[in-house]
Amino acid sequence: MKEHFAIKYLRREILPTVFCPGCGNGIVINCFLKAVSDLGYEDLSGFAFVSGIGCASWCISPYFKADTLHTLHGRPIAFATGLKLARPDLQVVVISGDGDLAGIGGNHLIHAARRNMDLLVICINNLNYGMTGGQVSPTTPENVTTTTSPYGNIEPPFRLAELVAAAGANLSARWTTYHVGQIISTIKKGLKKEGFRFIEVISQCPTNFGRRIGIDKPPDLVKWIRSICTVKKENSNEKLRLGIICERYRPGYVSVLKSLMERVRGEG
Amino acid sequence: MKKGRVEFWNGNIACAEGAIAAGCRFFAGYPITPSSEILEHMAKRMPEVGGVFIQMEDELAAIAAVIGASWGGVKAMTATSGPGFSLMQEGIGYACMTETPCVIVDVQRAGPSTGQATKAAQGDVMQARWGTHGDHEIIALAPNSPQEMFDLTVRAFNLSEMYRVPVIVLADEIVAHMWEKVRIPDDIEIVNRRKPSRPDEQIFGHELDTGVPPMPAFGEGYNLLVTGSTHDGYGFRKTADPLVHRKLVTRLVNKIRKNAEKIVDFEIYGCDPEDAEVMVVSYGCTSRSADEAVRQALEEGIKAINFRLRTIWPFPEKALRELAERVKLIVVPEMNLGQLYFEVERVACGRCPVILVSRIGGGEMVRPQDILRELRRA
Amino acid sequence: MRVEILIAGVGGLGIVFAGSVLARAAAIYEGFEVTFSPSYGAEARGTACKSEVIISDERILYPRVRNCDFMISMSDDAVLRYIRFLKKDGYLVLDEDLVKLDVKRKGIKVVRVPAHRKAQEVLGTPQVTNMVMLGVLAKLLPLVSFESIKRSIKDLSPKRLVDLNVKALELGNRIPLGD
Repeated sequence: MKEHFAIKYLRREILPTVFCPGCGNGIVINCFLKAVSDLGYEDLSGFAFVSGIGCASWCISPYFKADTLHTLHGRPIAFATGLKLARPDLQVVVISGDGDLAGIGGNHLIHAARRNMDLLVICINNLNYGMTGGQVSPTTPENVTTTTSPYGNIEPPFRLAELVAAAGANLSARWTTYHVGQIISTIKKGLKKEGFRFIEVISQCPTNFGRRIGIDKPPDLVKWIRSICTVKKENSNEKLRLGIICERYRPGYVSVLKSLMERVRGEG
Repeated sequence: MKKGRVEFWNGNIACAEGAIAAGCRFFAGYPITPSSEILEHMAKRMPEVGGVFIQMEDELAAIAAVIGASWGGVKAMTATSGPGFSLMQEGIGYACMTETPCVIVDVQRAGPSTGQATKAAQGDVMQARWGTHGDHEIIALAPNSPQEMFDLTVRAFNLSEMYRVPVIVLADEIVAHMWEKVRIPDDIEIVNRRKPSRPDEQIFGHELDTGVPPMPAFGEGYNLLVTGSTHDGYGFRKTADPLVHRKLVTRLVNKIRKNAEKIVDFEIYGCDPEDAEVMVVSYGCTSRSADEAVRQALEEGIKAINFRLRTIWPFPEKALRELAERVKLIVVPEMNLGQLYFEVERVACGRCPVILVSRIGGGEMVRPQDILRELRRA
Repeated sequence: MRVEILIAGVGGLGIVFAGSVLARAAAIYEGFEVTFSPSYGAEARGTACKSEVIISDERILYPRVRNCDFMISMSDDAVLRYIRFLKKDGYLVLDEDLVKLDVKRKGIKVVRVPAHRKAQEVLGTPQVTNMVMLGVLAKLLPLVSFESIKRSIKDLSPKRLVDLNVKALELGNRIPLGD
């Protein structure tokens, strides 16, 4: 039997993953590695992966056969910033969740976007804090019941892709785990661009999110997620808009810093 | 920077230049009084020496970027003061757990909280030791002049590289803003982290007596697994196995404890320590008051010494215990209400009385006469 | 030998700059051990501000001024605040326009100079009062030569202000000290 294309990028000795049945993380891992494979990378040696704390952060660590930095809750983008500036030759990718990147780490997210830091950030947005038991997150839709919004969520959620677009990113996009082909092509686009690139993937968490809203079958949860999203811009007031939210062509931080350093050293 | 030269610098500039001399090529920080001149000086100097400077959005990000850069193979530093140092503690713990070399400068100011932001204090002694959660050992150095802001920052980098541990330069506002001559040595000893000799070497295991494993950088083909969770020698998370946790954390602690004698550094000023009857134990700016008090005590015929700690952590237990056997009294002056004092008392362990001389508020130094008054009691 | 100098006034008068010029001159060009500690409030302008300079031919232990040999004062408040640190027979150098109060303390040498006024009249700006005062001090403090202070000014001033600062220093040096 032919080996699955993704196996060569993974630490096969520790498979299978620990993710719950029906979790969307596997879909995102698959999409990322498909993009990498399509672009012709034989291995992940030119990459560095950084994650924070939460289920999504385990996608890369320990499964990716690559250099991985599994960091503190909320701080992967800040760690990745230091790593990228120390090793600008590496393609630095952050894969983490909504609680990590937009809750506790929200400040780093908007500032990295503002700086146009050369990072590809994939946010697996499962709409709740899955690992800690399904608490409300900054992306949980209004009225939804979670363990910390037992009477329904009274807070409006962040629209991450729009937030990051407004903060200045070179690329910001949103898909759901249903949109595998689109995720792959957006990751490929992202890997070819400089600056800050952000891809939000709305993902299903059947165990801790679906169960609490009465939809525990993964396919049904994916359908529900699709129902709260739209590809049409005109419907995007009530629903989450899918697609490329913004694309810019500003120089990335690394190239701006490089010219500053050349200018300073030239004068010195 | 030209070597073998004499510069007239304040402590913050000397610290930044010491870092550069030690090979620091990455600085991330966030503005905070009274450490901001380090940040500002690095903003100017890093591009000149081909290094990276970045002002981050907060101190959480600054320490994180420093650790990220260190795994990129670059010597990295941040500098902060009181509140910022508190914010960095989780990152410092991560650096302990992942054995990431990095240097954190804390220019102490009066706290708690915002306190007196521009005024000196020595209230972070215990935060440097126990600020981050969980079992760990750390190294903290305490300069008492711009010269030592230079020298000890160099040493901080070297110790950090040698032991794969975050090293804290525990300065204070007085030393940071004081200008004095700084002599740049002709030869500055530089230590670099040891690289693995084989591709399958355990990056988080122990193979040497010192218990310090080798450290490659990202992008060198090691498929590194770096995590702040408990991990085995290869970096795989082992979040439930009691033995893995015990082995890892014990080694992290022992690599400092068992090398403490090599790390510990102090200076004795005054009479022959063999003859000493009274002793001051001091560090940082306060040690300057202590030196003056001892000088005056000697003039009065009191056999006194100032045992000055250049490393606060690990604490120089052995040397202090031996001296405590001999003297009749120990005086501990601090710009806090008693921090290192309790540590001295623990080590003296009833061998002789230990007296605290405190002064807090307004950044006022402990006065030599207040120390001298206690020395005269013996 | 330990000589202590205190320059005090309010923020914005160039107190710290004057201290740094003197300290650098003594350290770098005269080869002394020098400790210079500037201090100011959190606000950049208008609050109490001082420069402490200690010059010695041996290692300086305690870095703060306690027995002051020379005190330059550019505000009433500074005089009131710090006069107790002045040694017996120490010099108190006052700007006669900026300091209005009567100095009652006996056993010290009080020198009143029109630094602020002269800076305005001769150089067209009161901003260099600090350098005029330093010129006065240079006459009283042979330890640090006039030339060394000049070199230090050249090191530390922004290019466009070097000439003006040096002129102000020279102006101060020419002010007669009465007795």
